[in-house]
Amino acid sequence: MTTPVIRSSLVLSRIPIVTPDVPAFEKAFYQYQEQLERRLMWTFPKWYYFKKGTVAEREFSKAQKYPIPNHRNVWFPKGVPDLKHGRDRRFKQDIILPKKNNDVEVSTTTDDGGESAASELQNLDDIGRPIKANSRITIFDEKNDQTSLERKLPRTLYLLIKNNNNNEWTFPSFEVSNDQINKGLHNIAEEGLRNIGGDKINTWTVSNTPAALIKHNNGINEFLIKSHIIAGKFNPTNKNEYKWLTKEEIQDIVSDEYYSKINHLLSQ
Amino acid sequence: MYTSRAAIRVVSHVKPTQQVRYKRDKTGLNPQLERIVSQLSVMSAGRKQPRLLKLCNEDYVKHKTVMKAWSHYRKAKIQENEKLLQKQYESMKEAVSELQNLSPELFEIANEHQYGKRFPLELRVPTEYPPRQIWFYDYFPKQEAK
Amino acid sequence: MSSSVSRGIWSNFTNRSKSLAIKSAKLQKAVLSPDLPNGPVSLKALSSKRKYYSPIDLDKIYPLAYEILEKKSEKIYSKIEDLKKKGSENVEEINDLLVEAEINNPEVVYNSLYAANTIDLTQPVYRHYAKKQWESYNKMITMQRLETLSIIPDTLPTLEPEVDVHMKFPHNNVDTWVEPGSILSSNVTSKPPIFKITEFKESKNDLYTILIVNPDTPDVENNSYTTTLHWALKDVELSNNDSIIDIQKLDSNPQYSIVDYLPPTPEKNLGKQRFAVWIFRQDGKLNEETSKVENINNFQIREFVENNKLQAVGAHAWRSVWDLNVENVRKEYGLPAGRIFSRDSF
Repeated sequence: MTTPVIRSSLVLSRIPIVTPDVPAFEKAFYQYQEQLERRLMWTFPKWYYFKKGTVAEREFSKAQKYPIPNHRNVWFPKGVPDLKHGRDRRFKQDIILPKKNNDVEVSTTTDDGGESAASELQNLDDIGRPIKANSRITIFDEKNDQTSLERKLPRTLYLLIKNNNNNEWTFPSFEVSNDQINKGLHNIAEEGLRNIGGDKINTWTVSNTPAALIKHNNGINEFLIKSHIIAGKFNPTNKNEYKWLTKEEIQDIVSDEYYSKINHLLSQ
Repeated sequence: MYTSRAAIRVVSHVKPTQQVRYKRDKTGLNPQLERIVSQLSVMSAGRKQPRLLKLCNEDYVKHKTVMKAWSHYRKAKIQENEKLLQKQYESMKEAVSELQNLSPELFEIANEHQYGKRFPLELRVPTEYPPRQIWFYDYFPKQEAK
Repeated sequence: MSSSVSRGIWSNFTNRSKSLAIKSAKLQKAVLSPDLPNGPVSLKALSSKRKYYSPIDLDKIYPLAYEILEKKSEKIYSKIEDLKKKGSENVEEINDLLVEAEINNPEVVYNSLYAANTIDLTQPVYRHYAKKQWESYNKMITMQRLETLSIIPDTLPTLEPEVDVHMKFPHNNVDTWVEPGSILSSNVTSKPPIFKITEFKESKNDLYTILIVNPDTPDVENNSYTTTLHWALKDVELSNNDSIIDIQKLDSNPQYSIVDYLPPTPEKNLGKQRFAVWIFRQDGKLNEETSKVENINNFQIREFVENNKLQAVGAHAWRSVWDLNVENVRKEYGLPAGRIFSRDSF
């Protein structure tokens, strides 16, 4: 009687670095709801936040755009203004904060990546530098470098390596020999990863328990262990090809049979 | 709604802790009372509420359509998620029961309770924009550092 | 911006009824555009049209929302196609799917909200909306009046209402439906009422029996009351799009009548009299023998219902009291002079 072959594979993922992209419908809905909420909002109680006669109050009042008040000799075809506390109660109230001297417009544009690294470095020392959000799209996205960990920031990436024997892309998979059995599946997978990818990698195994089982036709039972990469880099020692891919990219690259068995483990 | 008179009634018996000579202003309230009145007025709806939002029939139907579409969208998303979780649970269960048949030893280790298991501190919560250094590459295992 | 948001199944009327669209072209354009190209068409006054502001950003979200719901509807329609191809005989299942496919169509929603009187009840989705509307008010008020006036159980034991019964009298062209239980003058009730019976299931040529009974006729000899039959109709043919019983219909179908209309002529000093209208759905045509009524003054309604195997599906009621006009009504119908009741006569 031959003992069945057991393999332990590692589903190594890089969790998202930035929040997920908001779909167009959700974005439009949130915008609509925000506008409704602003329309139904109570008038901003200026007198509570700004003491009468102070500089702050004067600056705030100066920054506001006051609507046109009602006047008995004026005809308002689009409805008579209904002002209370400086707000036309028919509409939302726009509260404009007065600009301070050291205030600079916060730029959240993501497409502006043209600034050179040198000038950015210079700026870093300046405390009063304008706040500028980093781009959600990195240079690795533009180069489509699939071996980089710094791509597809809003998505979860998974490590896939190319099997040298049959040129198929799979998760890194390691055989469980009889003398290793006392280590457990998760340790075998983690150690195997360090054998092929160097030990300068920090991972966190979610659980000792396998997440799924793939039964291959040739009698191999492949158990999948989930793990997250936290720091470091997968650096293949034997020039193995590897890629960090999202769910859709995995679907394109692996065989359909393999994908049907792992697709529920991958996050969108 | 709180009126200024009600506020006076509330606080009339409260004696100020410090004797200060106040100048009476136009409203006839001293600054202490005035502050209380303005604080209470923040919580009251008086003169701060907007006009009622009245939609014409067409816009009301459109609004209803939007809300219906949103509820369908959310429902589909939640159901999809639940289905996925169910699938993940089943695949886990299948894997573990199969492991028990194949190798009881590995099964034992897989089911050991992991005392003190925590999320590592280094795991990052996703933010709206990436940090300046997106990934930390220069990692060394602890044993080597010794 | 003013192009139509609909590009799919909801603007395709090859297999769908035209009644699922809004009739007025201007209104339809307003509902199917992201914004309001001609302003708020439904507002009548020019000043309120000018004053109107749409909610901000509704024009951006609405086309997306419409698309989501339309795609869902398309899926349901293809499901219906599959069922029909399989030769499914389950009409109810298909009707439920048809409701589900159209229930969120803005045009349908508009029609059932603002054109409830002219909706096409042959469409399952409109019947669904009409039923919801009925259950939210008319059904409850009818049952409440029947119970508080003790029409249940004085005439029939109970009622499981299935149809919406509207009733009015052809009196001075007052075109309002009578609220159940209201007190009407004898002048109003001197001509037979007009009924509108709304079915919420698919109905093609169903037959109905209608009885109007007064359970408060005094029976001095026995110191009690008897039930008088005021009107009886049988085999009245109705369907979803033809639900009104009026004089025209009765004139062209004299076979409907079992007992001709006897107007309420309450006796003086007898208080308010209840007039219960009962609507029954028939399994088939009524038997000539069993449906005959010999004595309308001592009418046994429970017996009649049992003998004819009738199923009560709806009811209505009004009350009458003696007034100055009773004498005229008696003269008009050639009825004997009324009696005057007083405490001394007992």
